[in-house]
Amino acid sequence: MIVTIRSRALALPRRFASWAGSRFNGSVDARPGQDLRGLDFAPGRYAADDSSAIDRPVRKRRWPRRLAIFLFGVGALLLIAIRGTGYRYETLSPAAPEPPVPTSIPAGASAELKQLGRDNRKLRAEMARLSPTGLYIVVDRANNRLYVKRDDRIVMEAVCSSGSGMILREPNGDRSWVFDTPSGKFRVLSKTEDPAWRKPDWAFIEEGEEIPRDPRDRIEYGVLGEYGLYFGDGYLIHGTLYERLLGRSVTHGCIRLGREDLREVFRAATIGTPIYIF
Amino acid sequence: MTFVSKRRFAARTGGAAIALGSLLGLAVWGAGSDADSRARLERENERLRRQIELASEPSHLVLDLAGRRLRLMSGGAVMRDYPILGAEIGMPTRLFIATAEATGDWRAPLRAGAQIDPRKTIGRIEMVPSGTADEPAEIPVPAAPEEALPAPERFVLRYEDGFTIEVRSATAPEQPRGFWASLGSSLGGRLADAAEIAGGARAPRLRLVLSEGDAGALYRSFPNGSKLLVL
Repeated sequence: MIVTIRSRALALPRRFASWAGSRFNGSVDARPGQDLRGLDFAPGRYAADDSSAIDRPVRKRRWPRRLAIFLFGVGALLLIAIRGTGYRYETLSPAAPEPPVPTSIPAGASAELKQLGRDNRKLRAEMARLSPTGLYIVVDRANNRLYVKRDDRIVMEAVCSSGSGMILREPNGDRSWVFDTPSGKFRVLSKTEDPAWRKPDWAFIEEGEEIPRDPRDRIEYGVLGEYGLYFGDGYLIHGTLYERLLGRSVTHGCIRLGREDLREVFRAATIGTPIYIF
Repeated sequence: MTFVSKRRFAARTGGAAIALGSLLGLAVWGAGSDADSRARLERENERLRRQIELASEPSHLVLDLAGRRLRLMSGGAVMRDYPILGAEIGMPTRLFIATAEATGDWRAPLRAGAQIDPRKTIGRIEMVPSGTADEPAEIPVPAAPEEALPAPERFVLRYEDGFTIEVRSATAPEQPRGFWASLGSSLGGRLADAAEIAGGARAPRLRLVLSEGDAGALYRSFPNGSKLLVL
C-alpha cells in the first residue's frame, strides 16, 4: 500500500531532505496503521508484503553530509558570535574644558551650595599644599634626564647619569652594595663648591684596595666636579670627569651632570629645593 | 466705576504677562544656574579629593582628556607630561550587547595596581673588584637607556579591575604591512579579544597614541602598581 502525504507543510522538509541527500518525495510504502516514525523515507523500499524490510529499515550513509551541515552551522554561529564579541572602539575627541568653578558663592545661594563652596576652598588649599610651588628638580632615572621645573613648567632639561644598579660583594666578607639611585621626594640639604669626596668602604673594595684606618685617607678632591648638591644619605647631584658617559646608568647612586648643566642647577637651586626622583 | 478702554486693558494685561513671564524665567534660570553650579562644584570637589588621596602615593598617572595629556605624578608634582596624539575607548560587547561595565562612566573609577606588559626585565650585574683574577681587561661602556631597555611599539598597562591602556608609538603602524599579515593580525586580534571577553573580561580598553620618544620614556619609567585618575 502506498501512503501519499501531500501537504503544503511538507514542502519545506522535502526541499531540505532533497538538499541533505534524502530522496523523500512525500510518498512512502507502508502497511495500514504502521508507525511511520523512524522509517527512511525512500519510495518503493517498503512493500506492504515485505515484513522483513519493514522490520529492518534501510539506512543510508548520510552522516558525512549531516556532519558537514552541522559544522557549517556551528561555524556560522561562531563567526556571528565572534563578530559580536569584542571591543567597540570610539575616538575620544578633545572635550571642551568645563567653565571654571565659581570661586565665590553668592549670598543668596542655598545652604548646600555654600557648603560645597567651603569644601572646595578647603580642598584647593590642601591640594596647593601638596603641590610644589616655585622651583623643583625632577630626575628620571630610567631615561637619565634631569629637569628643573617651575610650577609644572620645564625651565631646564639636562642629560644626567644615575645609578648603575650593579651589585658589589665584599670579598671574604658579608657586606654587599646595590648601586641604585633612590626614588622619592628629597630636598637640597646643602650646596658645596669644589666638593671633596669622602670615599666609603665600597670605593676601596671596588678598587681592590685596603680600607684605610685614617679618615683623612678617604678624602679625594676633584672627582665630583665644581659643585655638589647634597640631598641626604650620602647622595649628591655633582659633576663628573667622564662626560662621555652622561646619559648612561653608571654611577654608584649619585646623580652626575655635565659641567654647564651643573652650574645652572647650582645657581637655580637653594637649600630646601625639592628633588623628586622617579 | 472706572471705564477702561479695550486697548488700555489689553496693554495692561500684556504688560503684566510679560513681567510675570520675566520673573518666572529669572526664577527658572536662577534655579538652573544654581543646579549647574552645584553639579560642577560636586564634580570638582570629588576630583580634588581623589587627587589629594593619590598625592600620598609614591606615583600615579593622571589622564587629562580635555587637555590631551597623560601625566606621571609623584605626590602633587608632575614628573613627566606626555602629550596624547590620539585616543580611543573600546567598550566590551558580548554577542552585540555592551557589558554592564561598558554602559557606566568609564572615567569614574580610580584604577589601581597597574602592571606593564610586556614586563621589563632589568638584569643586575655583579661587579668584579679591581686587582682580582676575574677582572675584565677593559670596562665596557654601558648601554644608553634606549638600548638597554628598548620599548616595544605597543605595550599595555593592566589594572587590577581589568581596565587596560594600550599605548602605541606614533611611528608604529596600526596594522602590519602586507595583506596576509594584516588579515592575520586583524583576525588574531579579534579572536584574542573575543576569547578575552568570553573568559570574563568586562572592563573597557583605552588606546593611546604617544610620540615615539614619549612612548619609550613611559615604558622605561612607568612604576608598576601606580594608580590612574581620569579627569
